[in-house]
Amino acid sequence: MNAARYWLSAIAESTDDAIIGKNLNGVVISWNKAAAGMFGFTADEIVGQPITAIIPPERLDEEALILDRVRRGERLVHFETERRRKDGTIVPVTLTISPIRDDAGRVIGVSKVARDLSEAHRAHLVSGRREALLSSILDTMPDALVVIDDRALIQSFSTAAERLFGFTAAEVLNRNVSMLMPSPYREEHDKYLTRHLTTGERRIIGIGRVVVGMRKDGTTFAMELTVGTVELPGAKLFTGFIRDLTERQDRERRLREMQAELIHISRLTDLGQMVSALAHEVNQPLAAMANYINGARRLLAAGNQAGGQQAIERVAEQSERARQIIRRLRDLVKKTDSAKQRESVPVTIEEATALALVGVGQGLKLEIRVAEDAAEAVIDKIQIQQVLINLMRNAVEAMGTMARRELTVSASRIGEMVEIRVTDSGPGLPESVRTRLFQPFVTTKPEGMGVGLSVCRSIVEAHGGELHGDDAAGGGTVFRFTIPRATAPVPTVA
Amino acid sequence: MNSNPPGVVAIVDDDPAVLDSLKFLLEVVGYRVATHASAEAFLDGRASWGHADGGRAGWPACLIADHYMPRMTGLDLAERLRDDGVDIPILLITGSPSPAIVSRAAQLGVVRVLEKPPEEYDLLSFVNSYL
Repeated sequence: MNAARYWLSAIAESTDDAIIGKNLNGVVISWNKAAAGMFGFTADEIVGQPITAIIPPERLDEEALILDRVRRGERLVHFETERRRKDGTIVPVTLTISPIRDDAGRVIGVSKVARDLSEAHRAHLVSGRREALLSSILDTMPDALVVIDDRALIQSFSTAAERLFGFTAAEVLNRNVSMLMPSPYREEHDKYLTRHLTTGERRIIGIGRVVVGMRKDGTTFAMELTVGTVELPGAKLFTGFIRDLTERQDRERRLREMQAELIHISRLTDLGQMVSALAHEVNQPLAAMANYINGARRLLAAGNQAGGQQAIERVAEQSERARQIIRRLRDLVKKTDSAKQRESVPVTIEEATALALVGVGQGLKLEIRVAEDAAEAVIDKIQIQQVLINLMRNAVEAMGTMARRELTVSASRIGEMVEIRVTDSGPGLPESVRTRLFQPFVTTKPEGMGVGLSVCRSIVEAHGGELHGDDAAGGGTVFRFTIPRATAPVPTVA
Repeated sequence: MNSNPPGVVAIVDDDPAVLDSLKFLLEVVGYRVATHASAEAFLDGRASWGHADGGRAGWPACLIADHYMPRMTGLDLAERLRDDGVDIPILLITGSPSPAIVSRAAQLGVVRVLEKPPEEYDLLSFVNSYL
């Protein structure tokens, strides 16, 4: 067989259309794979048999007519009719029928190309078209889509994902999706997946979460991840829709949502204002008490017992008012112990990190390390996240526009406590600030109110821990604080 | 409500307890007091006191005003009075006497600025200067 014929035969075998060759007597000479699929006869069964095997009895005349016309050298294009499968069912087809000639130009046979018009087949075609449509939607969608299989290997990587992570699809396909995450998630992801596959436990599936992603250049960014599952026969796929929170519009939208969710965070930012408003409020009853007492003192000195008594009642009222204000102030910073519960340290850090890094932009390297025996703590999660966010925002601001910007958050066990360290590669703390660091209103920032760190310390102390700031080993600053470690295992949540 | 005749100390404070306690103290000491819950309420009294062009014969002898009030602050009130040519002696009480407040008060001819809560001695010596 020469090369051209070899190619032709390969094409005939790979097409969806049935290609049938027969001689002028209607005997089948060749029968491709699609013909076998469409009509149910294998080539072995039908080659050498009359083509009438696939013609419904009422259409036998039609076949004779066709053969007649082809013998005369005519060609029939997209002729719609019906044929019969081996099992007797009818299949609607469109036929293109051409004469086959020998070198001398004589008609020696008939080639018949049949296309299946049945619903099932059309659905197959439609789904192919749908797939094309879907893929074009995914390519133009602003959210990135990453599809992985049950071994975490990337199966699909949309155009937006290419833009977001800086990898081309070719670079990531069939590689483990953990390459898109910074440590420690990189190391943990396979475990999460295995646990999900074996226990059905869902930590992220079906829930949108803010997590940290890593670009090809090693920089990290906050992203919102929504994971879904696709069950296919014999396979399970996971779809991850990713929204980049560093992009401005989304950042603002998401920030507003977060502020609604975590009112405490905006409280922290507004604390300076809050302090002066509360000082004003506390001053009101204090001023009133001073006036009543001064008046009462005069009345009592003049022997007016009843008038003095009345004034002292007023003082008691104002003292109660002051107490209420102070209690509200305390509630603002320190919630009751009931809010403390067992929490995952990595999740607490991860969420705080994502929030702290919103709007930080590119060029920051983030590393998170949590020791296995420091994975759970008994904390008021939102408060500890406030501390983390505050320390991380400080760190990011301290590093400013320096070329090397590295932020490391790590946690390890120290006795019955978990120590969390936030380390930056910034210029370090000036000596003048270091000694007064936690006093309110001490700040290294030109516009800062400087109440952040003293509030952080109050929160940590309310957890029975300590907060310290120090020089980091490789330059920069490290803030470390302790929180109580959870001792018994966390009950698993379905 | 208050006729604010001459020889009266006018007090403006939006906090009812502060207002009442100041009135109580000053009355115990022997002064007559008129209270106003806002700067606007105080200004509403002007018609009955007569305008201040020919001096402020019908006006309160002096004014104690809180600075931090909604809508119109104590300093806004002082400015309004000065714009109208009223030179009534003013004592301003504020929770945080910032340099900005102190300097604007000086420009407006406010006699004293006291930090809240004020000392009894400072309060009474101010009132005593005008009554």
